[in-house]
Amino acid sequence: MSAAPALSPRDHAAVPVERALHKLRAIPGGRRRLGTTAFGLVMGGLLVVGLLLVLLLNTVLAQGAFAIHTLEQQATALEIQQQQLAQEVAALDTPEALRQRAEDLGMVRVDTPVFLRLKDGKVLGHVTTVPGTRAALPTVTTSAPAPSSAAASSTAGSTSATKSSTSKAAPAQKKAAAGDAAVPAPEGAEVAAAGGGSSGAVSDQAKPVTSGSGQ
Amino acid sequence: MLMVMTLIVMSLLGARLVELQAVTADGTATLAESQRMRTSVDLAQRGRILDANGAVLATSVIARNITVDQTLVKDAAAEAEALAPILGADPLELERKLAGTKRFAYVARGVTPAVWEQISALALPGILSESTTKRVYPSGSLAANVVGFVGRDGRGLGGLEYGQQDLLAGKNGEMTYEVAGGGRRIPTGQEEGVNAVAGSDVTLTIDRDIQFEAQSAIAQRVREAKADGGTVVVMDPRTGRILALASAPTFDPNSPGSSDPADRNNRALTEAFEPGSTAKIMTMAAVLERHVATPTTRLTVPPTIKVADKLFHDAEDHPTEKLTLTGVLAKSSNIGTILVAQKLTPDVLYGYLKRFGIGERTGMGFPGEARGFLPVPSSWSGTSLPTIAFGQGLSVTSVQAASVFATIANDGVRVTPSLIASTTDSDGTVHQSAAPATRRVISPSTASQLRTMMEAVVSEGGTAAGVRIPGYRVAGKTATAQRYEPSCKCYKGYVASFIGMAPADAPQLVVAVSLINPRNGHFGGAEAGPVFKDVMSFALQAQRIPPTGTRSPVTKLTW
Repeated sequence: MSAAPALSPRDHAAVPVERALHKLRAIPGGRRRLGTTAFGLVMGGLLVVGLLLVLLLNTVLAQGAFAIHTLEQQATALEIQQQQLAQEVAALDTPEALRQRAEDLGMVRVDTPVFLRLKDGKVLGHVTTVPGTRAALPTVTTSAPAPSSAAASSTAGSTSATKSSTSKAAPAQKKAAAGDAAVPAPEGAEVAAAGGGSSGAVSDQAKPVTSGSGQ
Repeated sequence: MLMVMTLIVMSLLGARLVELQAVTADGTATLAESQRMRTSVDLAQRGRILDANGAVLATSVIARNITVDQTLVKDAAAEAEALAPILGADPLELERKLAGTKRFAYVARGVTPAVWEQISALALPGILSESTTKRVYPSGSLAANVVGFVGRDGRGLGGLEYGQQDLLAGKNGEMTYEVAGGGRRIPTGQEEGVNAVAGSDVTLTIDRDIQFEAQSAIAQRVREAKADGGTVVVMDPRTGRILALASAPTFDPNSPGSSDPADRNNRALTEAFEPGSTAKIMTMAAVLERHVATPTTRLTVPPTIKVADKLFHDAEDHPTEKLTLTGVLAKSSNIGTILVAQKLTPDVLYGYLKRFGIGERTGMGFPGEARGFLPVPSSWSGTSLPTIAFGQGLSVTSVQAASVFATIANDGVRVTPSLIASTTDSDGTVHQSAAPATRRVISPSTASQLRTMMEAVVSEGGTAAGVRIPGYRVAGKTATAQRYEPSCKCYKGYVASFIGMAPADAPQLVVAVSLINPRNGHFGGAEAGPVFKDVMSFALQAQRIPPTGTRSPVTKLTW
């Protein structure tokens, strides 16, 4: 606290009463009072504005409700559409459908599994040729590059490439994480009748090899 | 005059006001509330059933039930005529459903929203709909005997749909809220209730590609052999995971009602039959484990043998043969098996069978699974030991039999078979299935010896030379068992089976094939062998299992 408090109780008592009264005087005029009519108008205005705001709020809310309702309907319609499309995809995606399409392309089942080991380019398993004549490659070659180009583009040993081409075998490349030997993956070249497509990565640096195509 | 009129009108209004506000206030308020309050059931989405790679085997979609208020229907015949082409139903049958005095009845259940749109566009009086969900199986009969099916109310009635009902179903919610005239929710209105909790997804160990191959192979073989049915089990012996579980004939879970109830069972788990010669592998396991004989032990096998007044034959008559123990298994000699089994006590043989899991459920928790049958030694007669040693007088399911071979494939450790890999809550939390129980049944060296002996079965001179897969070492065992028919308490027909594994020196797959009552022949190697070869060679490719590159050891079958 500072050393000199301005007013102690004693100081109060010391101020003469007359002087204090003398200092009081009426404030001139004062604020003008609002007339009764004007007051009513202001209150009425406030009420109207308030009511309008409430109305606006309700309208906005109702509009929101309408929007929600429409959007919900839209969401349901889209969900139904999505379900329908998912079911169509599922029908095309079944192993049965895939096998049928592979067979339509002239692919045949491989009864003796053969693998190409990327590490040393060794062909594992018993390589066989498929009986029957070789089907012409489909004109729409979206997913089937020629076996020879697939073999040539692989960096695997030349022995395996020779073996592959002589036995009409195409290395089947799937979504694969190759081990220590990375091979540029030609898109497609599916394993005949191997069904469900890309199902996981190769864990042992070996890939199944198809035995060519026949009709 | 005007005053009087005004007074009267005002009094009437006042009276009405008093009536509404004081006399009938409660009733009016309740009526108003009941008109704007709606309670609707919030349907819980049923969980999906997925294969090991996430392919959908069972899912639920939005659908509608078509209902009718018969009192509002004016011309049932005309309405039925209009509905028939959209619903693809018989007009007369529809007319019967529409005519009457009921306020509520079902016309069609689970139609697609598109169908309902067509119907609703016709604005037929009395025809209404309610929202529902429908269970769909996109792949039809694929893995149907594992997945199961649901009833009209959407509850599981068979397979895992039944077994995992509580997990799949989730919990329905119920919402009460205020609606405006057009059925829209009042935004500031009161609202209360609980939201639905969606069911969990169930991920199986089944690989649908292998499953499809197994199903189509066994279905074709059943047709060719004019058999009553067949099963295929594909298993990873190291993890116990079932990769395929096929049962033929099968059914379409999208319309279970149109199938034979017997075809809806999972025969590989619900039907037990005498294993026949595949049981010899357990006898051999006990013999090797107890050092009664070795794979090269020389045995002189007579054409017949008499045990406790009963004369036993082999499947084919033969003169006295000089076979090694491996030869006894390769040629599936009953008499040779009896000769070595007699050196075991009933308790020892029983003990090994029990440890291989015979006579007890596999532990997979599949509904309706059979236990099989294994009599306790105290009830054995003089002929029990020899008959049980070659697979008669006990019964097993296909999965139990596959599990025996998986134990040998897994170096003697039995891993409890499993079908469910994980479950996923509606909030995305994945719960991996608990690690399966394991137990050691035989030593690794005995298991390895047994595999070498079983390689002889598929060698030249064995009973299943036809099942060899070029490039791979395959081990297995054929069986031809007489089939016990409970209805006549007699033997009737056969069960032909082949159970094998590959690669024999480091097995990664076990495939068990059984054919029930084939009519064109009954030898396991010829009947079930081709299916084994098909499924095994496909599964080796699908699972990316290359050949080991080793050669089968040459084993002597005779001496």
